[in-house]
Amino acid sequence: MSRAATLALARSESGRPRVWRAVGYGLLYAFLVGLSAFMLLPFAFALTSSLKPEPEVFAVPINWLPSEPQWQNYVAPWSKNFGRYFVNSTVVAAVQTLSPLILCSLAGYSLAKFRYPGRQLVFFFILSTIMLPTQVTLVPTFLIVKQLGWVNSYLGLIVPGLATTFGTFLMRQFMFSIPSEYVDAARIDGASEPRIYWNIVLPMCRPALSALAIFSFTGSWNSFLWPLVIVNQDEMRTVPLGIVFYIGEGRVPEYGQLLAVAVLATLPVLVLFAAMQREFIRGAAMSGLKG
Amino acid sequence: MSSIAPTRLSYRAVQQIWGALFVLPVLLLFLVFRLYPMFLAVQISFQKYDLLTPPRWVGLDNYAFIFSNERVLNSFKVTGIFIVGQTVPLVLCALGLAVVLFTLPRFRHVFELTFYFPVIMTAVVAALIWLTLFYPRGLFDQIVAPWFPLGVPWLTSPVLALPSVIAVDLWKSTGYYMIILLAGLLSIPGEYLEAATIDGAGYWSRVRHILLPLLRPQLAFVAVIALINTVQAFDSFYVLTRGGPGDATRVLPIEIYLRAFQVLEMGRAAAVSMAMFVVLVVLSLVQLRLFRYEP
Repeated sequence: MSRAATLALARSESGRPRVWRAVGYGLLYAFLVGLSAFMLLPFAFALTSSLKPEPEVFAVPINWLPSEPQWQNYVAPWSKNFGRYFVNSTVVAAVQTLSPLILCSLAGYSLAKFRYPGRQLVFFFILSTIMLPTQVTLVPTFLIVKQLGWVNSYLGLIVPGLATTFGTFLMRQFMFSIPSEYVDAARIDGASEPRIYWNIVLPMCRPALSALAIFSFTGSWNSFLWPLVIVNQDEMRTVPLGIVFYIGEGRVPEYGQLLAVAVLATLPVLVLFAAMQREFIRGAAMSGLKG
Repeated sequence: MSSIAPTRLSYRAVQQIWGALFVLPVLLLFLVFRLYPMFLAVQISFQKYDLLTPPRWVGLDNYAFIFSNERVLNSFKVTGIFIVGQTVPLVLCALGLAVVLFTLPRFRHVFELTFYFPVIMTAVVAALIWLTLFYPRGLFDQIVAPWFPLGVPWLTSPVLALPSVIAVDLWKSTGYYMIILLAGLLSIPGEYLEAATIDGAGYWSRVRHILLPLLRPQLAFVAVIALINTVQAFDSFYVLTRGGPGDATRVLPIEIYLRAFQVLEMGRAAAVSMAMFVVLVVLSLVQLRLFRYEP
């Protein structure tokens, strides 16, 4: 089973001397280990440098490890309002994770399991927004949100991202795999449509919902351009905005502390990634299986 | 039977009304925050608007401006170079890695995770870390010190700045496209490869004549998504170069952002964004044609 799903190096079992095949695989693994080290190097550098005293961050020659761990690098940013930035990022990410679970699953259920006029049109409209670059809607969306009086507010940060194209598409695809018999049986038992959605359909979507949740969370946690446009007061900044604020503005940043913030900002997604690796990889793969 | 039909019909109607209601929240959100802004963008692109004074119609002035202004034209050029310089290596690296991982008999999952890790990092955070690596006499300068004792102006030379940003983006996003292509490879029926192996097809000929043709739908998808994401790339540019040095890395998204929110030329920024949208649609269609993609 798993043998069939790989591309063996050898021409056939007896085609080439075993030694050469072993050498081939050896080189391949050596190459991949080296490349993996390179992929992880920046974060490893950030991790060790975040504990260095400021002069050692850019020391020549490089100090890989701090002479003495500076734990205060992890404490100092909190007095520079990074505590507030983390709270803001958390609030925005929490709402923007929960809301697609409901809204996108509702929409996906509707688009996959019902037959009403205009359904296909709605689907193609939602799907076509994938092609729409953020930059096209950036200025007008800012003007709309400004009109609503939502500049520098959670509403402004959150509402435009309450539902995503990817989420709606993902849920619709998944709904097709749910047998309609369950829904019909519940109808015969006299259950109302909202009840069927909540008690029957939603629990069966758990795999898709967990994939959607992690993608919504990382998307929201990592977002930068929209917050940059909609926020200009310090107390509404999210973490990425806080970082950019401390790099820019002509001030000389304390890189040790900034890298500590970088590590802290990566921690939530890192923990999530470690806990749900399979869902991450499968979710990314799923986004390509649209056929 | 005839007595049942009317009640059945109305029952079905009620059911479908519920179904339509379920899509309403998402539909409303998309109408207000995607479709309406799209129309507004067209409208603003024909206006002069600086947020402070009321918008004024100026006809095609903004379009005349963006196709004659050297700074804007330069942004189109930089984006063009960036598209080619980024998407080609991106798709090739992702494809190469996917095939290599597909070859592995063991530990494939470990490498999937390490290559995917940069994808989940916040772009701003990743760019901040690379900023420290690119720092004068930082890690990269020390690595190349034997050949360039004075250091390399990674982000401050007009020639090197764009390739440096491309390097960061390649590191950051190759893993995502690799996963999609790997999933495509894993969905190819094993019998094809087995049959070819029995017929004595070598490694390369199996890759060329079996894997690549069967992978064409995923390759087309990856090429288009890579294009869409590359054209819109903003975060790493903003943190690493903010369009500089000079205008060497002033790609269209940076140009649009700075024009709209720093010099408050909303109309001209909207016109640039419309032109960028047209370019994106045309390029995507060309790509789909190139890969003979049938959805």
